[in-house]
Amino acid sequence: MEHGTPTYTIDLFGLPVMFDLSTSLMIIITCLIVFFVFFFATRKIAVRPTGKPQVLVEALVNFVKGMISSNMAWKQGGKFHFMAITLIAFIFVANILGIPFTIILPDEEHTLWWKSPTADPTVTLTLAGLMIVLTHYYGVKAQGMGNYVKSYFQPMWFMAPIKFIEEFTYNLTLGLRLYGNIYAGEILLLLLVSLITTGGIIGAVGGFIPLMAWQGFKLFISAIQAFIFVMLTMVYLSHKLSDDH
Amino acid sequence: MEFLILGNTGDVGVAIGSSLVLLVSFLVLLGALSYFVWKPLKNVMDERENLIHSEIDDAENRRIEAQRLQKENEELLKQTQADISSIMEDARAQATKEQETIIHDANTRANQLMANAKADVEREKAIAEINDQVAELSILIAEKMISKEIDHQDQQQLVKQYLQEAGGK
Repeated sequence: MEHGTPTYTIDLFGLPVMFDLSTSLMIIITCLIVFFVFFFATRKIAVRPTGKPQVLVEALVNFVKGMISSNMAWKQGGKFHFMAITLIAFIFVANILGIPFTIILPDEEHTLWWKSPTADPTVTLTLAGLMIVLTHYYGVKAQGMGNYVKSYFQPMWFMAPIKFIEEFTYNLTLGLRLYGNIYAGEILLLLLVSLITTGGIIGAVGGFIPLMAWQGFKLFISAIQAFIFVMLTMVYLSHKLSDDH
Repeated sequence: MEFLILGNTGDVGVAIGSSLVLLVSFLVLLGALSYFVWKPLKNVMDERENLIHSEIDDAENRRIEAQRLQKENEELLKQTQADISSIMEDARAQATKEQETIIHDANTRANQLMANAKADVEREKAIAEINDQVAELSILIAEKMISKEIDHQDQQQLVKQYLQEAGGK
């Protein structure tokens, strides 16, 4: 199951910066899909909704609003609304991109071009890191630097190392949970596909139903993981924003 | 960070470039969606929310107004009904009084007429009685006069008198 990765390295002031070309391509494709889906869904918006697209997008907006307000006061959390909708839409689309098909070039490295960008740990950890940095930024902004630093030494001073490590754990768990779910799902999809294509008539018949079932389940996982990612981001944000924590 | 990445076979380094691509494209996506989609949509939704709030307030105000008007109308109706019933009562009392007066007057007049009629009848009876008595008396007188012996002289005088009377005519 080894697949080659198309890479391209540029030298930035003597530092080699490596691009995973397939991941980069998939990220950009995801962004374009998300943007155009929402762009065209909301061309005809009115106070009195005229079509299904607007209703669906509004349902998503309200759903995310509910997620935020279940964690913090809307006065505090309102500014994360757009970020949270964009995040959940981006992660969901990124997750489901790998479900319908995968493109593997028939060269000797089996270069993998089309996949979920979230099946790449660099992507999920970067997203998680971005969110954690965001929580720290808004934590300092809301509590002030003094209280923010002090919060590491509460309730006991010797808790500080644990609390410090916890911040990195947040980042790791947030990113690796998403990556693990999507990557494992894609591996299983590839295994089922190879069962169908190489397992003869029995493999084809035996693998078809599980493949369909797993695709459906992966759709579910994609939605759940997108939800969990945004939900946990909001939980971490609320921890940092509230004074009593 | 390499040791943290599952599936890292060691010969592939961390693709910092992918991170940069993700960061840049995600932030661009966030900006573009916020500007082109979320902001207009949020405006519309806020507008709708305000509209609904104002409509609810309006409906509430109208309900209160309607309740006030209804109470007013009910009071007015009650008062009108009371007026009507008092007027009816007055009219009925007046009518009863007039009825009694009329009946009383009629009775009085009827009694008077009856009394007059009785008096008339009695007078007539008395007159008739008097007439009868007069007739009887005159018959008695005539009988007495006739039964008395008319003497010769008187007879002569009477005949003379009758003759004179007849001759005078």
